[in-house]
Amino acid sequence: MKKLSLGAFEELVLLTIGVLQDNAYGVTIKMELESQLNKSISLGALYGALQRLEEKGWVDSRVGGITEKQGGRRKQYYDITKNGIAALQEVRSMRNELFDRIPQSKINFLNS
Amino acid sequence: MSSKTQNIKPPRLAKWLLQSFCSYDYLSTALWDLEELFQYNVETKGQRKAKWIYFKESLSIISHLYFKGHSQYSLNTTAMLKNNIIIALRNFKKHKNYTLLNIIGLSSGLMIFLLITLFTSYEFSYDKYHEASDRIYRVYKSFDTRDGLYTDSGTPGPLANALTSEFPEVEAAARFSKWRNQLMVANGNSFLEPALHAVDPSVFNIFSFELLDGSKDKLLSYGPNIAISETTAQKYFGKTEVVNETMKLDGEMPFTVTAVFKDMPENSHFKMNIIAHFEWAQNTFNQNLTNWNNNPYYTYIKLKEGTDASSLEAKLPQIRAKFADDPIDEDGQMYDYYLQPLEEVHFSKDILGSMGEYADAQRLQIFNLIAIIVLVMASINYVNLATARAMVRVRETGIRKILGAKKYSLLSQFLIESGFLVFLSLAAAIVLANLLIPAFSYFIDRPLDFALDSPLFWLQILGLGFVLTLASGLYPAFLMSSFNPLWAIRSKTGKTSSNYLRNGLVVLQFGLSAILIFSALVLKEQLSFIDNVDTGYTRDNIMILSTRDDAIDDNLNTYMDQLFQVSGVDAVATSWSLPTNVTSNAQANWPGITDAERIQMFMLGVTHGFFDLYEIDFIEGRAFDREIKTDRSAIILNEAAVKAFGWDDPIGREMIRQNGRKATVIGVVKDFNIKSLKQEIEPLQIVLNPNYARLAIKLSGDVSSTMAQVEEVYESFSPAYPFEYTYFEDIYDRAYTDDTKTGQLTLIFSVLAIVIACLGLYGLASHKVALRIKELGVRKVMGASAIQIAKLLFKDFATLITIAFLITGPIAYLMMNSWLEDYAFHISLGVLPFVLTLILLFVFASITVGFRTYKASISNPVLALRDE
Repeated sequence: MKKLSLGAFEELVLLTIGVLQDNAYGVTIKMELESQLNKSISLGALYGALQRLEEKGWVDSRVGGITEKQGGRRKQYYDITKNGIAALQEVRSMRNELFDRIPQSKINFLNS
Repeated sequence: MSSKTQNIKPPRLAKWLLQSFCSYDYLSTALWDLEELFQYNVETKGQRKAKWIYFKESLSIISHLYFKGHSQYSLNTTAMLKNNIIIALRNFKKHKNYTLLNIIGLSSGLMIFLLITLFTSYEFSYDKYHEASDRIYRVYKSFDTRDGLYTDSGTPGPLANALTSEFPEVEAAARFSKWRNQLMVANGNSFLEPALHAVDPSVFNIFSFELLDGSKDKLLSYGPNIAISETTAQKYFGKTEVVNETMKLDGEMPFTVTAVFKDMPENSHFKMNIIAHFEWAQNTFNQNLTNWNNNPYYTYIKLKEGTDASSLEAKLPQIRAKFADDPIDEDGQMYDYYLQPLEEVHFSKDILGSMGEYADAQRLQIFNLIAIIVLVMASINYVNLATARAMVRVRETGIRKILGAKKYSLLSQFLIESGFLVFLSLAAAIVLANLLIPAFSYFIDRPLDFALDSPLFWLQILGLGFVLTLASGLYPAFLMSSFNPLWAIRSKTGKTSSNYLRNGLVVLQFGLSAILIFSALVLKEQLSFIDNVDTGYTRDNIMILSTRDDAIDDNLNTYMDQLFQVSGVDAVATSWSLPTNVTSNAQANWPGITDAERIQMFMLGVTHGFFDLYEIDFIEGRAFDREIKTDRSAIILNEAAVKAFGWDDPIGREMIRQNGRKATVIGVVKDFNIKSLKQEIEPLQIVLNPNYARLAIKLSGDVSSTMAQVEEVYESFSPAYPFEYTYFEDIYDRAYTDDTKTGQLTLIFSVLAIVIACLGLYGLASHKVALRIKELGVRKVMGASAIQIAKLLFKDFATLITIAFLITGPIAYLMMNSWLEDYAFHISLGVLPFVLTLILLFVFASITVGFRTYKASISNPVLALRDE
């Protein structure tokens, strides 16, 4: 099977879903991301990423929040899956490993 | 969330778009999120911004999910739309030649259409920018003369005040008088102003002016005050805040600037740059403002809202009866006053003496017609190519039908295809037209520009695109969607009745091209006739000098003598008006004349050198002689006059001049054109008189060095006024500028039209070749030569072109004949332009068809025959 890859934006979305836990749906994800990244994100791009993440099996979606107020429309909540967490961990450990291989002296030199 | 904000609804259009495009699985989610975001934004960022964000977000969702993503559950119709767009694009890519042909044809047709309509709509926009332009009227008068009704725009001084006091429905009235070529000096700068206007201050209430400096209630008060335009202020002072500055007329007479207004737009039939107070100016120059028989002024009135202009017009005759002492004027002529809507002034050629130049509305309509013709030809191309290709696409439609496509969905598929092409061409046309605008506006001498920032313009473009899509796409779409699916399976590209239609359209195209080519040829012939016709006077090497300054008028004789001394100047002469357009009138008169013999004739005062300078020939008698003092009371007639009088022996006959003095006829000149070639040569009397003159000199040798010396002489006589001169040839040509430009434009358009027609022909020829490829292959195998095959293919088109020519030839003949009737002097329509038109049509058509068929006829027959 082809190895699934995690794009940079997808990674951010996935992380945010994990952070938001039970309250991750379109608007909250968008707002959280915007406040973290300090730039505006279009819903379209977000849905695109969510669609891809769902296909890869890294998020689950469930329907909720059907209320009178919103005219019976459904609200799509997202949860991170076990595979999702694994993907995040893999990316993270790969990054850490690479980061650790940067010589400490170089980091010290550049930081000073 | 307050209940107030909840009532604000998100934009409906965005919601509708979302509902029709967004895939089903995301639709309600998206709607939920957008709604929540919207309510939040309404509270934090305001309603307008929230709506805008909603709209933007919807579009981004559509583009991400519908076009980039791979949602499968979008609504069926919109899924088909997506599919259709993709199929259309694929089709364009696959048949690049065909697409290119269509786009080139359509975009050049559209470009011409855009440019022409831009020009004509500019002309029709004249004077419409005034807020109350539909309530402003120009007063003009007309009276019966022996030669028929005479109308002009000159009105008497007391008319305006009489109108306002007598008719309550007249809101305001203003009188204009215009002084040409006045020298103004201010701030150390001096310029010759082409025109100064003395106008009643009410002009600011009638027309729309935008004030830049000065106060609204003190625009122009009685006294030596002037209001000036922005350009004028910049020209003299380099700034626009110039109220209370002084400008001097002729460098002597001071005026105070009391207002600066924004320049009047170019599409005004009169443009004022410097405005003086009317009554003050007339009083200062001792003009009589109470005389009803002195008509040098223009009168414009503004009516109150809801006034019926025609009922007011009917009451106008009362005015003269009531206010003027004599309803009938001295010559026994009865004046009647009429109203003309301001918006029509630009197009009135029958009312003489207007402030601006007039435009020929008929000519503009003809241009509009040409624009539409070219557009129709471009659309025909599309229809022809599309229907021709329909035969090839029969299999595609057949399969679609078998798979269950409804007629409606096929229709929309083909319409989307043509819509795509049309809008692509439209975009190309706008870009092209924009590039050509500078050259085009220079050519027609109008400041044209597309209103690219106006929504109305884009709305019109959008409308044009839709109309064109329907006009050109509907028939092919119907044709293709009505194919019998069985054809597809039988793999038979059947014959349909659309062959007739296609042939008919080709005939129409070439017929229209024939008309355009024929017109262009005739126009060109007539214009070169105008250029070379013997007008009875020469136009070569003659310069017309300005004689604005009184200083020159006072010393005219010495001035002329000194000019004559300049080496390179062969002759010097003045005349009241130039031979191209003699304007002064006189009545024939001699002792014992009967009333019937008192015919109207033209009159020209000249100096001695006139006949030599313009090389006007004498038939009988002699020219004025410097040595013979009695020539001051001599008259020279033209042939037309002698003929009109019915005199056998004119020399020595006595006549009575306009001033009552007796004069003897000493010569008769050969008829020369005293008006443009559109008019017959009228009777003319020429007398010796240097006043009110236009001064002409004839040059030989080097023009520039001679003119430099002439300028020196001029400077010594008139240091204040700048030296200006014009080639007589240019003045002659100017009378025919409109026709020359029409001719050149028609020529360009007809070439483009025929190119468009040929593009279509090329497409059709390719189609024919494709259909008959097997037949051609067999013929070649049997031994047919390339030429024979080309001939075979060309035969059909030749028939069509001949039919087109036969149908439209007579129409073109009638059209051009009626145009030529405008000219009293014109060419007679011979066979030549017809033959040339036919030859040109055939040459163009054979090049296009020949090129295509030649390629087919030299191809290897094996290629055509092997896949059976």
